[in-house]
Amino acid sequence: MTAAKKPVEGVVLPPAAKSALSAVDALGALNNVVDGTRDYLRLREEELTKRANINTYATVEVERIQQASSLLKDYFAQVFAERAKTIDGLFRHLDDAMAGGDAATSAEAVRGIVDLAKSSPLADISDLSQVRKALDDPDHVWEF
Amino acid sequence: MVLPLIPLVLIGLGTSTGVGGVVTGLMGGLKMKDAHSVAQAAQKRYVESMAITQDRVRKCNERIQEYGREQEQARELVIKRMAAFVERHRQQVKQNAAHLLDGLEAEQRDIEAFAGALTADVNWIKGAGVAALTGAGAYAGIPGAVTLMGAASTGTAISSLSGAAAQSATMAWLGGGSLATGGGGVALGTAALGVVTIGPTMLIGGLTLNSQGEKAMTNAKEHEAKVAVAVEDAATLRSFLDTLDTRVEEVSGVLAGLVQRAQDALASLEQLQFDSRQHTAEFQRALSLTFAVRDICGVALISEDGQINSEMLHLIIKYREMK
Repeated sequence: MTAAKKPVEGVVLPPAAKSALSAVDALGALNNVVDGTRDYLRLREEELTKRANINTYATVEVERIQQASSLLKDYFAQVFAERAKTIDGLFRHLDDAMAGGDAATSAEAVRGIVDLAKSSPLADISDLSQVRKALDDPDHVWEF
Repeated sequence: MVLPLIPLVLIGLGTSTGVGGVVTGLMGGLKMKDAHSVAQAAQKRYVESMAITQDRVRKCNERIQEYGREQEQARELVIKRMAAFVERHRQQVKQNAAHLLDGLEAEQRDIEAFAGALTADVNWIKGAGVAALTGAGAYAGIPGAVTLMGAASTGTAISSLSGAAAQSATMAWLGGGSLATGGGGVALGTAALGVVTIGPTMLIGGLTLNSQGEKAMTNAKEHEAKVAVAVEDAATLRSFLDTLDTRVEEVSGVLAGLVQRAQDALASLEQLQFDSRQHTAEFQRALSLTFAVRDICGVALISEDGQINSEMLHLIIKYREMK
């Protein structure tokens, strides 16, 4: 038998054991990248929406507070101007009555002055947060 | 020389995902920095607004204290003088304890502080885990696939090899073939695997960081919005304190007017050789004005409870007892 025809001798190796780290892992890695990108894009969209809502809330709320503040300021300016005029009138009335010796009118004028001073225009709105709530409530009726 | 395609593709893939990871990571870092700046600017605005408001409260407090002194003086000049007159004429006098205004007490309600750029609602552990798994998956999966499908440069299926031979054949395959066949060999294959492994890991890490940046910016904007509302509330409160000053001026003016007239009435009364039957009108006039002074001294500036509430401040009007 020639050497060329001599059969190959030796130990026959079994096929390599299937790796525990299979090709599926590579696909898993790719999936992770795709999922990670998709999750990020979804989160970004959500955060952008949240920020737009926050921005709208702040703009609307600030405007509402400014309007309420301006409304109150104008209201009080008018109320105190009218009260000042009334108080001046009552003092004049008192002086005239005292000069004329009219005790009854004097007492009436004094009572008027005291009663007016006692009634504080601020009494009903000292809770500014309640005022804000009332402004937010379209059904609230403002009684002046 | 023909460039080995497999390592080039692997390196290209690894590099592009790695660069993508670096860029997204940098963007995330920049967003966190921006978020911090937004929150810091808002906080500065809040602190400034609170300082202005506290200064306004202090001025209002001073005015109320001054009015408290005016009340005290009014009691001395009118009520005590009238009481002394009555006592001189053998009448009984009972003076009730007087409560004088003593200023304004402020209780500040701070808004919730900015939670910071790093928030707990981004799952860092998951992000890190996925990044590690992605890297490990690429590191293990690619050689696994090569082992199953590739052939060594000798033409033998790699799956039929084992041990160091299989590993070398796999790496050489990843390197575009053995050096002898014009490929990059084991060294290039190992390098290509390294690059393709680290790229996706960096990308996942970068995306996690970028998610954090997005959330941090939202939190900062939320804080900024809270500050904007609180600053406007503070402006409203200051405007209310202007009105409270007007109210103090009103009551102070009324008190001064009554004190002046009561003093005149008392002076007239004291000049008389007082006879209760003859001088009833003079006595009644002085008494009526004295009562008016007493009543005005007890007038509430705001409401009976003397409190002002806003979202940020709780103000209480304080009283002291006249000695």
